[in-house]
Amino acid sequence: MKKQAIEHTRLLALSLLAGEDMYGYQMIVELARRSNHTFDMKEGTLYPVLHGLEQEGFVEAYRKQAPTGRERKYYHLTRKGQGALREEEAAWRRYSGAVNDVLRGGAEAV
Amino acid sequence: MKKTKMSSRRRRTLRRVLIAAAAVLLANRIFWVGFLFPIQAIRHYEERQGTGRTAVVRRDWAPEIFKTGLVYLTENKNVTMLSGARLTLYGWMENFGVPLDCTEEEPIHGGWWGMSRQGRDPLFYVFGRVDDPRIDLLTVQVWYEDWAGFKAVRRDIFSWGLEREDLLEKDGRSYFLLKSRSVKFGEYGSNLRTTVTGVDLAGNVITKMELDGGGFSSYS
Amino acid sequence: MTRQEFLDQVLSPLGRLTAQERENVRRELEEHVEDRMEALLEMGWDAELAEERCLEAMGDPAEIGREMARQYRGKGWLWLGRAAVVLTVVVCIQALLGVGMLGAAWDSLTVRFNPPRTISIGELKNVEAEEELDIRAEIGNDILRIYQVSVGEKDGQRAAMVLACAYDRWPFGIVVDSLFGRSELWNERGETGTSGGGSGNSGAVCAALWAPVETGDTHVIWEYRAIGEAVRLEIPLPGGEEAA
Repeated sequence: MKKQAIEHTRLLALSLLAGEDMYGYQMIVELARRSNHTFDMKEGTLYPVLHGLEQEGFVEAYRKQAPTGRERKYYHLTRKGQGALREEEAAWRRYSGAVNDVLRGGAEAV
Repeated sequence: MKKTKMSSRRRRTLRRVLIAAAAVLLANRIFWVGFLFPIQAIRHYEERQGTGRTAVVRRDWAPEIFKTGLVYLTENKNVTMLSGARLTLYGWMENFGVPLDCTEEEPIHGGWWGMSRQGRDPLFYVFGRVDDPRIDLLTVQVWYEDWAGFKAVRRDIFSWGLEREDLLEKDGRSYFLLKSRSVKFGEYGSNLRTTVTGVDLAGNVITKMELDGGGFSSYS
Repeated sequence: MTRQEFLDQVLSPLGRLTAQERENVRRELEEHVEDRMEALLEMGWDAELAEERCLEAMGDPAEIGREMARQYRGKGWLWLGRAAVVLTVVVCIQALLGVGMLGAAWDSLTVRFNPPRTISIGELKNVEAEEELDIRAEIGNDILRIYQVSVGEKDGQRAAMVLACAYDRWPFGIVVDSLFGRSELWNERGETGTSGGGSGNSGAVCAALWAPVETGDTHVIWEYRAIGEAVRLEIPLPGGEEAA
């Protein structure tokens, strides 16, 4: 169950960064906003995911001054990361499609 | 908008590897030092001797003299060469080399080299090229002239017998490389002789010649 | 739990990270807590309660630490990088110890434009004529270049002296170990001189040879003995048409 949560988080993180470069806290806030607070993950667990993506070369990091005035570590989606995002999106669609099929199939059988 | 890039392990490693590669390339090409592979030392020796590019027939590990010592038998159309290299503080470096000019027509071309080092058994190599196709058996003899009396007495030290199928084939030519630990050449000096005899299957002697191309190296 | 205790717990399983990497992790997490704190304080939360809430929202520090450590376990990037650094240092030291080779590298370059004009083998006296030439031959990887001929007197005899050099086809390349040892200078009657001289290094080698000549001789021949071939270059003598 935990592994799946991490896998989810990778997809979410990659897709957040597809729009613009963000820093960790910003991503948590944005995630809550977009999903209408459905995703209520433990905030600290985002960081291992981000570092993993960084070490794999899917994102690059740099430090920059945030709108709040303080310097923060920003993440940027690389071209390699864009490819990874597309793959994970496709995998997610297949997975959720399959779940939907099973649910629909189950409902019809009744 | 101040931006300071942060590097991941991957990026740092890539940069370090590139710098290392550039450093090795520069050292190899400008300073001619820091060879990572022993064959580079042999190529360096080739250039110094003007033999032209040679191909490796056999590589022999000779830890008896130097732990990292390698002996190469290399060849091309004009040259048969025995050379040696070892790993030093400066990278791989050549130890010695005997280029044999094989452009003249001879049934056999050959040479020899002895290596000795204090406190160790010496190594003695005999090498060459067999050009005469009639030769089926080769006998290589190492002996010395004993001048203890007034006449020279021949004393045999070591010999090898080779059949044609024992020869090393390369580029359509046949070579041989022999090694002995029993030739204590230091004791005989210039009285040491190496002769090679080639016979055919019927036992007819095709050629019998002395190999005069060779030398010794002594290391401390 | 205090903020410091939280961070320490996260950092504790990160022994395999470099000090810089650990500091980055600590800093990033602390900054996150800062941001969350600010948000709560703005909403009017009490400082102590806010800190508690923040740390709770972060999650289990031990788990974060373990997950983080897992991300850095990669296929040995760190050691490859360190090995590369060691190699670079070793190679630099070797180059420094072999700095004498720079002379050879320099010679390999300069000999192409400016070969040495004085090789002392006992100079020619009463030099009648001296001429610069550029006669080249390619011998394997190397280029042999005859660049000067002079006629004068040597040991009481009329003689011609020829200067030549050799270098690798490519700049910084390795040349044969000796030009002098592989060359001879002949005159038209098949005589050679009995001395000469040469010098050089792995970048460039030079030689000066002389041969006795008589009035009316038009040329001398430089013979270079390469493996497998003998290269003969004809060198015209300056003022060869002059009668005695």
